[in-house]
Amino acid sequence: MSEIGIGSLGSILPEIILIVGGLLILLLDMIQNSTTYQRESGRGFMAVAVLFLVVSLVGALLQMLSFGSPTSQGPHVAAYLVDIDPFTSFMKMTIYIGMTLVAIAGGSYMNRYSPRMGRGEFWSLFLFTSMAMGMVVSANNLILLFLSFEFLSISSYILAGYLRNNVRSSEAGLKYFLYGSVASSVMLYGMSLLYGVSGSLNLTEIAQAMAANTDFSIVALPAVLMLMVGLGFKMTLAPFFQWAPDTYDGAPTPVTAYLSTASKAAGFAVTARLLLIGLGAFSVEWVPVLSGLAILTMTVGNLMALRQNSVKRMLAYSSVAQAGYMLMGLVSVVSASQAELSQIDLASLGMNGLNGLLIYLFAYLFTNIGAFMVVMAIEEDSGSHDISAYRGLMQRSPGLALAMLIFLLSLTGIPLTGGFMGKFYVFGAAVQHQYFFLAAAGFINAGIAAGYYLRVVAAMLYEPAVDANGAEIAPKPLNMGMALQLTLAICVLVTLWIGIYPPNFIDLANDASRHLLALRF
Amino acid sequence: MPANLDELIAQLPTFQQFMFVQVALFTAVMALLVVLARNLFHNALALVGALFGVAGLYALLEAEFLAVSQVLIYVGGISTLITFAIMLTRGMMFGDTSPNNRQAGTAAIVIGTMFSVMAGFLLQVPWQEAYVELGDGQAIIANLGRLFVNEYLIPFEMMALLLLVVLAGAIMLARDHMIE
Repeated sequence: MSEIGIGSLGSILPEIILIVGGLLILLLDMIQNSTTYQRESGRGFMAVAVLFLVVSLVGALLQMLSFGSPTSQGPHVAAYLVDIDPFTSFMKMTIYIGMTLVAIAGGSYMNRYSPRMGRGEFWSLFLFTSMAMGMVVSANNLILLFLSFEFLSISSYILAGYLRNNVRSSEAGLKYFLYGSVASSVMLYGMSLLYGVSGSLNLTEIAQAMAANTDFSIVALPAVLMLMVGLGFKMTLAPFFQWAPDTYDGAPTPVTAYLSTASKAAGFAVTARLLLIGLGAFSVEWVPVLSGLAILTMTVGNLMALRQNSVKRMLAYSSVAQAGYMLMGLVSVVSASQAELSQIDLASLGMNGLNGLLIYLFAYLFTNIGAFMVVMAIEEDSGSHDISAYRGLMQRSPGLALAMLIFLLSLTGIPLTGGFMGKFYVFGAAVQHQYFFLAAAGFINAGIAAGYYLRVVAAMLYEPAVDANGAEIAPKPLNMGMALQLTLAICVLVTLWIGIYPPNFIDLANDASRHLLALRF
Repeated sequence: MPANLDELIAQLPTFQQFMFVQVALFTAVMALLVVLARNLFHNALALVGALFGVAGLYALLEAEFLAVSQVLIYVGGISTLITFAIMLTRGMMFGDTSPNNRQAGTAAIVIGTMFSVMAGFLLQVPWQEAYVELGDGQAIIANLGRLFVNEYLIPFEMMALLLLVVLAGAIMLARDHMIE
């Protein structure tokens, strides 16, 4: 066994940078608050946090682009347990972009509402959370995978309940914690089954051990079911989503924004890796489970979202429903008929399902963060999430209304938006692999979803602003901070950019998905 | 009939099996008490027992290091903390402080089903035997330290960081409201 040198840690530099940033903020906080209880604005911490996030994002980007060049090291394993390959780099890039956007746009909100003494801790926790997500998508070993998964969960519980003086926020944190601890323990049991039969924690070795002895295949189904409890909790899949509406609704809006995008993306990446590499040979077992979950998730999410009057809560349910569409991508990796599977080379397909999932996740990240940031802007202005607060937004702030319009169209899946590209690739893969029932369920659900998304659009564009009693009032202009405007502009531009088929970006997603599919056992 | 006696003896459970059943039963009963006892303090005491039982299982499996850590950390540290927290909280010590809720019956059915399904399933699997021969003068934990700074360096460091995060978060959430 060779020892780990400093050189091999270079591959996980983006994560190390985030750790250094988090520790630095903790130290700065200690120095500042040691003697006085003075009011600390938190802006300095926010600046440091954004700086470190951007540096590690650049690191992850460089890593991803380096795989194409001949001088690079290529896909490799760093420090025994961390996979560095196009797939992990793509996921890391997605996650760090999301965290950076949330930090820039939501920073002033968090600094205003979080407890006076806790501003430094918030930013340090925020960086550690980003680090945990970067780790969880690259772990190839069950120990590191579970540990970083728990790291992500625990720091998210704290962040969701961060506004201590707000009862809703505390409720959000507590519910998240209770559901999360049960889900993690069930998932751990599933992992112990895999370890028990294979005697290894490495995903590839597990796959080899399971293939070597057919007696072990009996473990596959129970293990998949138990793993999906923990992973489904993180991805907000249907039977395990009950925490999501309350947590998304109660948590501080910036925290909600990252929980529903970056954290969910991490969950999907782990699921893809676990199922494709660790249990790739047992797709017969997990494909029915996953397709059942996908249909249930989108239907339940959409039907519940229809009834909501609070836009934040509606977006929470819509986020559940979107997870169902994404899961379709993962199901469609495997062809419905086994005979066909052996004949075609999966990795060469234009729509292999996994690239649909990646494109979907990336487009959804910008769309949903943007939508939640609009919710945040309205909340700061009127203190309400109710749909009536959105009436007359077109007169009050045309920019905000148009941005929200684009986000909602993208969530619906209208062409020329990122959401359409994601749905196109995912549904396309489902049809190509002959999961017609899945594609049909998806189309019906997309139709239902249009109903509640367009309700907000109608309120924004066509209904006049009203006061608390329902009487019509003159539209009052709405002011936004510079950071929020910038983030919204970025989100709108990227949503539209993905919508017009950017070949470079699609290539990146293709590379990432092909790499993971090639590893498939 | 000495031959029959030998056969009879061969059929008897070994001492290890006998001990296992006792320790496992003790653990299971204690674990049930943690959930079912009506007084919070009794729950905490039963938790100590259950954690001790788990340590016993580790010892039976010849994982001495794990057993000692379990006693030191869980029985010695965490349970003591829980007990103190209960004793220092007003009105938690006496009476019906840990009532059952309405879902107890449903939970029992679900757990019973889960248990029988899992037990039936676990008996079907041909589990691998983990057995490593130890060299002369080698301790079972000799490799542990080396693994922590080599193969499992990153999880080890992550664990340290996780403890820091949990500490900071717990202080953050539980800090006195008066300071605000």
